[in-house]
Amino acid sequence: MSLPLKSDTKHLSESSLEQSTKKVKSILVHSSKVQHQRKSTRHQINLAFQKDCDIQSSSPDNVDGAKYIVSTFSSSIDVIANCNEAVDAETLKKENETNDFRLPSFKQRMQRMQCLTLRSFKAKQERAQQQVAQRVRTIIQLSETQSCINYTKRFLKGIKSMFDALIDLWYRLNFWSQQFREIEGHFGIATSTYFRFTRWLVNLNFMVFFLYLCFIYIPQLSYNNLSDYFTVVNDTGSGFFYNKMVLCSKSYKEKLTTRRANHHWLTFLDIAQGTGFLENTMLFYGFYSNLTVSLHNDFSSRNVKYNMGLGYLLTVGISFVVVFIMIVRKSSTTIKETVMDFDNTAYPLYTNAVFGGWDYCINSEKMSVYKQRIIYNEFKATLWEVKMKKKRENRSTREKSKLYLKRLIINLVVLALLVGSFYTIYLTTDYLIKNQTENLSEFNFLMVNYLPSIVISILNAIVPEIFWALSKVEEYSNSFATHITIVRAVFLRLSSVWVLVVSLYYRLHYKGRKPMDCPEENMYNVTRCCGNTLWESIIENDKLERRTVKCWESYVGQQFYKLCITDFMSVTLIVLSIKIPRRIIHHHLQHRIWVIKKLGRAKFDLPLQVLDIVYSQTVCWMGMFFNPLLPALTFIKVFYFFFLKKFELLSVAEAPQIAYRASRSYSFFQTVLLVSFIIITCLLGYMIGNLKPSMSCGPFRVYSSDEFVMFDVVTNEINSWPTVPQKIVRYFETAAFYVPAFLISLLSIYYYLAVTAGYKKMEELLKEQLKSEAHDKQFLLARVDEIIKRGQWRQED
Amino acid sequence: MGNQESIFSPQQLEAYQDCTYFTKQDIIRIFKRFKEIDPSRIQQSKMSNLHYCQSETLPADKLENIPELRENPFRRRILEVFSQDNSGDLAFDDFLNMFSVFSEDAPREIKAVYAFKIYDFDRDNTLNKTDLAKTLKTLTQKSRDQGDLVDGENIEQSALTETEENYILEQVLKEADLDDNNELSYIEFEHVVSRAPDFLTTFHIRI
Repeated sequence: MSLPLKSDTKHLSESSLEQSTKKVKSILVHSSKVQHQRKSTRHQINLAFQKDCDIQSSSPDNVDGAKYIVSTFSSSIDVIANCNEAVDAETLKKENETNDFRLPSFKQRMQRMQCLTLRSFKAKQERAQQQVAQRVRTIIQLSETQSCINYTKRFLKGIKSMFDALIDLWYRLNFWSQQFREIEGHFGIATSTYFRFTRWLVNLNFMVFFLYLCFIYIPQLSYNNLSDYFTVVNDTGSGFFYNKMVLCSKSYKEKLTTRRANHHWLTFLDIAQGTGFLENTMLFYGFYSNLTVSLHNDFSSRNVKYNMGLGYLLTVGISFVVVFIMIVRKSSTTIKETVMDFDNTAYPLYTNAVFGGWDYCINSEKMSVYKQRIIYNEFKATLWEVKMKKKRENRSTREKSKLYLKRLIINLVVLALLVGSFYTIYLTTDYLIKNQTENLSEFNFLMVNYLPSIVISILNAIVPEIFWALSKVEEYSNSFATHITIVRAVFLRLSSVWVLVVSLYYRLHYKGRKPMDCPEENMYNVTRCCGNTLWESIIENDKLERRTVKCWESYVGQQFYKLCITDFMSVTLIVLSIKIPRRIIHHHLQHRIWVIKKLGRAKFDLPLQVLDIVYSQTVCWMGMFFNPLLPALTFIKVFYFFFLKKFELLSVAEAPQIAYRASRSYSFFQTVLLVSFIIITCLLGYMIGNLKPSMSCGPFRVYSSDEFVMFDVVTNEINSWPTVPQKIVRYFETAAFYVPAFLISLLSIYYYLAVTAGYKKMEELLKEQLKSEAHDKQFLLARVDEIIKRGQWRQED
Repeated sequence: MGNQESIFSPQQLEAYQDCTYFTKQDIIRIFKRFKEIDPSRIQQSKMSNLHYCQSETLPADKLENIPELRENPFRRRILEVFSQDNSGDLAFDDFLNMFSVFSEDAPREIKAVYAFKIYDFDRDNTLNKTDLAKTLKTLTQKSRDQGDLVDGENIEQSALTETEENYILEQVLKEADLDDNNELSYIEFEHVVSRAPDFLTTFHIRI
């Protein structure tokens, strides 16, 4: 750029001064824009905006400016050239070539801009691909392998179009999207994340069910036309255990098929408790046989072997791995956004509220009013938090110590509540087992059986409300109070299932009564019979014979079955008997009775709803091993819950007054799910590795040694492999593998942490650089103005 | 599948599919919705004519009342941004473009471009304090023609005070304005919106 020289100032007119100023400014602006070029497409968008700005503000005489704009614009000609509906590229090229430049009309510019923004992202790649494909096509047509590749391509194209048609059909069915449209329209996106989560769980359950179907149900069903007893895995020293197993199984089968009066009432009891005829079905672990079948096909002489025990164990293992992978994959997409929450300085709280505040999905009038109230409340709440924070910083020491004392007391109260709940659950389970073999009437027995599940449901419903009330006393900030209540409620819910399991374990494996009439030879001097501790009842009674525990895995499975049913019933009952009447009463009586108006309508409280669903899923995972049919049941149950909750949402509840951020909610759900999943895996792993299975039922009946645990099936299988693979697998068990692997994982974690820290630093530096460059630009413009003004004065002199 | 081909020519459908984030079924469906708004003005037989697609517009008043936009406080701005001459009248091309930008598959960059234009009330390509103040007011205060009673419950029309508004605007500028000129350019807006987790999920209309 050439600034006017001192000698020339007298000859310069005002308009040319203005022109050169504008030129300088445009060049400066252009250079600053170039520096922000991250991608070429973004550059084009910026140019588009800049063009608009310049074109609107500059006079038509400013040919230089216009020419500069066109020159940069022509670099994107090939983008425009493919816009079918917009400007004709030929005319544009012609415009460039002639010096008689006319600015394109505003309409055309808008179209071009639209084209740029739309096409740049999608069509550009497509076009490049098409060009390459075109070139390849021409080359191929010249080659000799023309026909082969053509057929392959056509075949692949056919498959692709078939997939497209299938996906189209699926969307046509419009099933899920219609549901979501309703929910989002009325309650916004944050609530619909709950329903998305539920749908994802339905898919997960279906996958597990499918795995089970292939590897457990179908092989077991194909065994049914074989004899009662079984061919056994070829183990050494198993003859002795085989005999025992036969005796135990016989005794168990006799118990199951004990004849009794065939009342409908008793059938209902059986279904409710999972005993009797239901126990002898695929629902429970006990039904599955320890079969290794050799199928002799007529047309092939190969023996098809299927080791049921191994298959069972591996299927459960693989389904857990699959679930784990799916959860981790889902959470990794949302965790990136949650991480931003932790770094409070970088989280744009206010910008997020202003620009991401309005939910564009809303299409109901009621909800839009509510949404505005929510946004308003959120702003008020944030401002109040700011005030509170200032107040908190100004707290005197005396106030602080009082507050800490209060918090300590409340934490102790919470702990006491938790311990109390756990002890209650333990007591009821104890009571259940004690009364297992007592002489009770049928109805009482049913009540006793369901007692642990009912107690757990009641505790799960009441205690979180108490936690919520307590958190208000603690005077935490709003978000922290919500979080801590949720953490406590999660702890309660997960641990109640865990406590049930542990108390069952304690009772079934440690404290039993000495059996008098064990069908196996009385080798053991312990209270164990066929691997069970409650083999016998004291009173020999036809009725009570049915109540002995001759297969502890099925017994545990029955408890989970009852938990599942109780969960199902309690959620349905709560909606039907509490929420609907509340709504009706509120609707009719709210104007007359002040209390009812104050209480308001039932709220669809997201965190507690999520806990409900996660609890159902937790029960499913825990019981999956003992109840192979439980994934199918849970699939149906979660599917049903989707529609039940939707009904509750749309007709009964009112929108929550606090805004739940959609992204945070989803990652929160995933975290809770992951935590419960990990705990369950640990428990199950311990059980598989440490407990002796029953000899009378299940796929692990035949012990291969004295200290047989379920995992030994895998060990035995590995032992039967040839030497080299065996050695390789054995290597993975030794410390020589674990220690280096552990060290390598630690090192990689440390590496990624260091890289993240480096990126953060770079971000800070770049921010500073941006700021200083903007300051530089302003400084330079000010200098230019100054110099020009000086030139003007000199001119006037 | 029969009458699908008769509305648009195959090249048109291909072009639309390339240009937007919709499948063919969606495009047909959106066209049906477009026609429903004012059946007398849109003639289905002419839709294979490209020029007709771009020029035959529906008036803004009718478009404002479709269920997807009716409750949106920014509906006027949305219509103006997507129309060809800032009047709010949309042709089918513009209508399709609008819903494509608002669909789930549109990437963050496209949404940021159009969000910037929507929130820029005075159309000067920057978000200055007046623009932001108007955005905030529209968010928290809606003009209601009828009374404030909804579903038998009285909802008071409360608003943020001046000081509160100013504080919020200051915070927004502090978070987003990188070069300290008290207004947001497109780059700053895009930068701050890429870190806002809710933007992508809320800037979405389902049709």
